[in-house]
Amino acid sequence: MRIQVGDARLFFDVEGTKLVAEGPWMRERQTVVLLHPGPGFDHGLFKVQLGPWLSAGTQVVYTDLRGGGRSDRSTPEERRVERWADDVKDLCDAIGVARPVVLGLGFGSVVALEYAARHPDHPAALVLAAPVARIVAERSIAQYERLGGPEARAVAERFYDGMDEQGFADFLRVCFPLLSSYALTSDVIARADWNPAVLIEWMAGEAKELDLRDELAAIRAPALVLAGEDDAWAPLESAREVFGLLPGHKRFRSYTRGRHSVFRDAPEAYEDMRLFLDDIEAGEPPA
Amino acid sequence: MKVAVNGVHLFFDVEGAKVRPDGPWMRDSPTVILLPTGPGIDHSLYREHVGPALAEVAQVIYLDFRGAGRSDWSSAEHWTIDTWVDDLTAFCDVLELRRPVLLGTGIGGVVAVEQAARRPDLVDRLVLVSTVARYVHSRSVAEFDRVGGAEAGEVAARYYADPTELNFAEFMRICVPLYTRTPLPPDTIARIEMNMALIAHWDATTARDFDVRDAASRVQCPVLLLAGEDDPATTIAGIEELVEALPAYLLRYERYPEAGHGVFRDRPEAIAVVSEFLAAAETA
Repeated sequence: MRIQVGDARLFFDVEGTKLVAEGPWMRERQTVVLLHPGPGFDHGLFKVQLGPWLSAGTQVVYTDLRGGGRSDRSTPEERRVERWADDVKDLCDAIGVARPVVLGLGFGSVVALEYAARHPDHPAALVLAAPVARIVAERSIAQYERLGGPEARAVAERFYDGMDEQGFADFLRVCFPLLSSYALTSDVIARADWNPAVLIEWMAGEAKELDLRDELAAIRAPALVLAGEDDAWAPLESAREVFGLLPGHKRFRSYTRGRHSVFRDAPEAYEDMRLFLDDIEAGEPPA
Repeated sequence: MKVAVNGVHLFFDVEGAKVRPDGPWMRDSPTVILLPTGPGIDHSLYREHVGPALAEVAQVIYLDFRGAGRSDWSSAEHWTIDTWVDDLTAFCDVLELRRPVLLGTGIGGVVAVEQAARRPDLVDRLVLVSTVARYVHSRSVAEFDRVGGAEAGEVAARYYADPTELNFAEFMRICVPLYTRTPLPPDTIARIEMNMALIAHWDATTARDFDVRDAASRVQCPVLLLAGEDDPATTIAGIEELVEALPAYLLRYERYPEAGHGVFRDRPEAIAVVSEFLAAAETA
């Protein structure tokens, strides 16, 4: 499905019903909106494991952020974190999703943070997997080097310093495999509906100046922060920085040998998320 | 979930993803919209068996029409086939549901036939369950009498002659349990969100004179029609009028002995027939 949101049509997909039959009642379940890494990527990675797992107990909404996947490409001026964040709220409002749990991974968690800061009463809770409040290139480059040696360092340097298409191809070949502790199957890569031009444009532009640290004070939703201790995209220090600045109820979990694909790398993250979602549903603020 | 169409908010729920990983591909599955099983009735009767089974092969969208369930109830002048068709057209448009399969039971099937006749470009195929071309109440009275005895026939006659909410309460008690051979579990009935005023309004107005035979003759897509021979609500005689009107070369007609209204509860094997029919749908 796609729906008009502001000046763009956004793709969304759904797994798991909102209502479930329970004796004489139809019970409403939570809705979890999943925000994918990127920008310029699509929701497909979530369909392998995270979405199906969540849909056993919640309604899952996948979306492609504008610029990627099956959503409108939009324009360079509109491909900014502020717009992506407002799109999350506007999409939810357009399809009648009230008080969602918003889960972001990597770049998706950047969007989730901005969304929760700009619309503090909108989310019921946040799950921030591998979050950053800003892109600190040196931290990431150092981590790529630790995991992949000098070649990875050289490719990562170019990734953060205004890469071209060739630079992104090198990144996919050399650095991308370092973001998971397991071998991404060729199927997952083949299924990707990515638009690298949007990533390249954003890395050379907004990413260089992005800094949400002051804005995080506006967030009111309870949050679960999940971090991989070997994540090069969102280094542990950056995830801790986000956690430290969140003003409300919050919980932090980090995983040894966890990388950017934190759920796949550290299956115990699923259990931590389940406990968090149960607490949210029960109205108990996490600590 | 809800979307705004034609000045009201329509409730819908979804089971099964549209886009599914399949080896190196992301494959689109067909979309099937389940249209309400009766006027003033929400989508909940589909939730136990039909929706979950069809979600294996398609993205299932449960929809409450205007006037029922969790959609805006609006007001009586809008409780018409025309409004529901217009709402369905707008619903598909706003969500970019391209060429879905429409599955309708009873009144849902009537709306599906009208929709397919008016906008052949919008619909890939139809599944019509217990759907008649028109209501002839004397036929239903005779069937209630046959399957439920004289009292059931009398109660049905009284209600159809004077469809007030009071008479409906009696109809609900005596006649509705005769809709299926396998009784509806009490929890299932409790879960239905009903708009009694709409039911009474419908039976006093549109139910008396609608006739989709002309629309049925203009359907241009494949149709699967499922009917129960012991259905007192939408009688086999009324269903066969629809069979006559639909283009024969597009129709697959399955008639089930000892099955009542809705068919799936009495003959669960009918669900697999629908799944097979869905699997042949285009996935535009």
